[in-house]
Amino acid sequence: MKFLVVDDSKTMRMIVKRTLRQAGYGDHEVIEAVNGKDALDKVAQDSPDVILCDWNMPEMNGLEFLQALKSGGNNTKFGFVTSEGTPEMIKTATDNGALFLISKPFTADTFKEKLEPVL
Amino acid sequence: MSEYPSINDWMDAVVVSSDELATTMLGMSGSELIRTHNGLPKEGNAAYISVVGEQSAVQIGVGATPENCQILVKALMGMEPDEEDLEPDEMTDAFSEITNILAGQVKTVIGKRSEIKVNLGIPMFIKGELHVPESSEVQVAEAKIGDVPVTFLVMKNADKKA
Repeated sequence: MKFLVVDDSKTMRMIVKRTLRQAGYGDHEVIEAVNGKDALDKVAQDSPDVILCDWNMPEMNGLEFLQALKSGGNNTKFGFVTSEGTPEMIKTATDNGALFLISKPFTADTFKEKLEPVL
Repeated sequence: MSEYPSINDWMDAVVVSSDELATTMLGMSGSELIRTHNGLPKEGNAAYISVVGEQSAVQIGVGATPENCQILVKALMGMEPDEEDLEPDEMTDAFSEITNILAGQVKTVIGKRSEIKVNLGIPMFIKGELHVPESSEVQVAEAKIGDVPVTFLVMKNADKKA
């Protein structure tokens, strides 16, 4: 399985990769993108199985990226990993086709709980 | 809580949120408030993020000495305290992320306690002394995350009339 981690913060990409390992997904390939625009290129180039994406990013944010994916007919499993987890954001995320939203701060258990049902 | 949170409400949300940040992503024992006051720190590093609503805006900041910034970012990244220090740009990115995570949690806490809707800005890292407009309310909390002394800052602009 191939994960695409999308975040403009290098630190957060490292932390998400580490948390994936801690959650038991260490044997899987992880690729990275720095914003939604970059992520669209990586999806076309590398065909990831699961996308873990930040919400607030420059150039193209996570929601715009998700909408671009869906409008192009791409149904890659998609979840947000973001600083904000208000009920309104969760609704917006799921209404647009995201399978889950993980809000920071999170633990490896949070990743397991959200990822296991969709993988 | 009133419709528009006071600066005390915001600071309380920061302190509550810092405990969750400490025990989850930093792997520390929790956070502890030591005292609050209104004096701005004269030196050190701090990352700030704007929390903006239709009628109110605050800046939330987390400050620490350069040495303590390194301890906190190493904890965030799962490194041991005695590992080599992060390069300045990595430290800035990671410390800003700590503030970003904290502010996200503050938004959640405030959202549960009041009716206001707010959006987060992009974190900004500042070295040295901070100057703020006289019209802004400022509250500073001396605190500890785990055993690490930190400073939380809340700067609140005057509320706009509805």
